[in-house]
Amino acid sequence: MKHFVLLCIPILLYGCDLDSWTSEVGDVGVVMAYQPIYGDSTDLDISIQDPRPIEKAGKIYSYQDLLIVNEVGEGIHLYDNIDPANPVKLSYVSIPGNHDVAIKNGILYADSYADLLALEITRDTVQVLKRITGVMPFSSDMPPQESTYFQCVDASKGTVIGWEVTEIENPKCYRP
Amino acid sequence: MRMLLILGVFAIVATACGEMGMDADSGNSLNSGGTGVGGSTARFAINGDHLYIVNHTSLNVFDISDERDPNFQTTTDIGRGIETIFGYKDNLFIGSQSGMFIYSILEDGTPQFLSNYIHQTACDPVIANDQFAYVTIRSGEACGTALFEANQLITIDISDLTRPFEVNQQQMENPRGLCFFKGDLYVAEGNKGLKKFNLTDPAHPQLEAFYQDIAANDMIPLGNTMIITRDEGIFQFGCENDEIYLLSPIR
Repeated sequence: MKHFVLLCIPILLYGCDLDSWTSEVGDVGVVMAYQPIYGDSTDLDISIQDPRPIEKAGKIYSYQDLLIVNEVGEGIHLYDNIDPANPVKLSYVSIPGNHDVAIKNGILYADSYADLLALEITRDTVQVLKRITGVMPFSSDMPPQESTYFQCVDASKGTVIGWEVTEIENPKCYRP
Repeated sequence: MRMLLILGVFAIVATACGEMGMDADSGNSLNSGGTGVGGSTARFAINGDHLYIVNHTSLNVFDISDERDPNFQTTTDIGRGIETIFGYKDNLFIGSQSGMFIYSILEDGTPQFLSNYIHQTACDPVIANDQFAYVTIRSGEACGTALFEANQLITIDISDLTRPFEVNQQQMENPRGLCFFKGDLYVAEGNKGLKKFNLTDPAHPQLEAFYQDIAANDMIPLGNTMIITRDEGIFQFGCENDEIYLLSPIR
């Protein structure tokens, strides 16, 4: 209840309109908002690709001479960082829904939406050793963040496996 | 044999910067045998045979004694807005939107609640050493609330892990990740820059430099190199005569 009260304070300034909390918010123009990802997580593309520029850098992880940079929500860039003055691009690994990684004895653990993956990465290949499904809980009804607009879930499009932030014109749902 | 695994190869190549990320105060490597190190905003931490992952409301534990075959072991409900985990020795420091939680790791890997330090609702990564934990809290819409104007660096005495208490609080601009580097405390202020605090008196960090041209979200200290991440890329800094200088950008 405490949180409910806190959340209601800013709403009060605009006249605590409970109806505006969820669906059918008015036109807000183009905003950064969440949109649901529909599909089957085992169909997602986990693959090794040529190095690419960083678009939006996320978490970083250092393992021996390897530097890993998360491309927010999309995958990881791998660099040979034996000489920090001259890091060398190695490859890019597509891991949809990824934000964090950790490594033990050469095996890389990565989140992919609601799943945890154990990956074995070589210079040319990436192999999913194990996928543990549904261990990164999220709501299929609402995005993982409060005070945010989102595209309403359309059940006819399938199962929601995660959320991504993108520019959306006039999103119709809002999570307070 | 899969001896040419990229990751495997890196594991055996000696490095110029020596410490291999195993420095106990450098981040999410606990009793690290063959593990790496993340930044202060990481949600993953490895301690021995266990991988700890925080996710919104819970702390999940995975058995990775066979690293190729991880298994879900247990989950602990912590609260809401759980954002970061920092492992130090056999303890976990968890940053949430409502405060810092301290867990000790039992023999079988299970986390056991020791204590918490509650603050206003805001984002907050945490790093720690034997005596103090340093927490940044940041307000704003992306942090679950725009209600509080709370941008602070908080120093918490944790010499008794079961009774943490605040000893210092300093106003910040928009703080994010933080790290220990060359004996100093660095705090990322997002697009506002990077701050360096002298820890001669570790209970009262003294602002020593504010690099307004070095935007930073989080960093990893690695021997003589500090790896800084910000939205547009990765910037590595060296340190000489107590001054940091750019080694290389990655975009």
